[in-house]
Amino acid sequence: MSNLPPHIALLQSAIADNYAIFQKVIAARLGEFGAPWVERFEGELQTLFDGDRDAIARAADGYCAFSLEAMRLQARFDITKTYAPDSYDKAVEEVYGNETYMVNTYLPALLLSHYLWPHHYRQLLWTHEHFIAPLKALDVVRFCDVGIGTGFYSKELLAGLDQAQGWGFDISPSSLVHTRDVLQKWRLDDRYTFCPRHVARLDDGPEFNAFVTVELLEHLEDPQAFLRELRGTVASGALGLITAAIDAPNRDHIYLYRDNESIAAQIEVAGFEIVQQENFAAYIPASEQETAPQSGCFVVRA
Amino acid sequence: MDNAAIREKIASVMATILEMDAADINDDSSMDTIAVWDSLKHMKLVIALEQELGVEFDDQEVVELISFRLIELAVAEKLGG
Repeated sequence: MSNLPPHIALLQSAIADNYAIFQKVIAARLGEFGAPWVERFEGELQTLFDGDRDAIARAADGYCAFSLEAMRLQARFDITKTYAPDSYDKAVEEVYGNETYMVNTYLPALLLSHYLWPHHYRQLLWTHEHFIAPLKALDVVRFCDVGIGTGFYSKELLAGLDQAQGWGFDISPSSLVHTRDVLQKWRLDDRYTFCPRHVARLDDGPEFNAFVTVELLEHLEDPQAFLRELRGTVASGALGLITAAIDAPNRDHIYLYRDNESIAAQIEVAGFEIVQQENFAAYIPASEQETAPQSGCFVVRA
Repeated sequence: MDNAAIREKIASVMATILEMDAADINDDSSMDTIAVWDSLKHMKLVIALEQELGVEFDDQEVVELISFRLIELAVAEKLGG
């Protein structure tokens, strides 16, 4: 751990200072994913934080607080096998509309989770191989990202596809501000349009030949209705990335998926053809009673 | 429960969760000295301690329980030992 590049070293230090229980997470990911992970993660941190030690410490605190809560909720979920939030409006009130929580905890946590949670990092690698790579063959890519969150996947598409233009939809002002900041730091904002709208209202804008909705479905009361509306919005033949969290009891997760099959069924009923699918788990449960958060990942064709 | 009983109970819980011999757990045992004691094991350990000893730890306490000695002190304080 003595040869970590500067920004990862700052993150390691910040985690060890305030949340020692997570001090082994960077070494664990380094052991699993090696030098390519280090290079990609350091590049991400350098672009976003540019040596700002205080900002890295705040992000580390947000990530650790979020992860701690997630592990507590997972232990409860192992017993109840249900999600606690009972409505979308409640999630909006407690999370998306709570700027303090969004800025200090939720958004930095999700951003770092793309590298520090193994299933999220595997999902990222899989996305590049099975979704972004095929889109490189297209002359023009007009994509929508519904539920942009941190803006991470919009950034990945814009950075990976020189010919791409993106439209990002989210109801959270904090998410929109955060994504604008991320894309500006990556100098990708000139190819992106921000749409502060409800996820189900995609009734204007260009015809999208690509689309992304990453870990949004589980936040909705009726994901089937959303998928149907999404199918009506994008062009026939459009290539899409749809992912959803499985057995992941975050405070704003409403719709419980227990496996890939239940997500796949909704995707197909909405009129999409599944091209590829994969399931990534955060870890292997120690017993049949235990659960592990998973990502159900789908490349689909409209 | 006296201090000896508390120590024995904590060591027993730690041994189960961390999959090691209780006899190998002592005052020097910590996240630094036990390789398999990561964040996931830590949360399982906290929950098992809460169940076995009838105590509750808040988030601040959870992140501070990173050694056998610190766990022992925290549990003794909660049980009035």
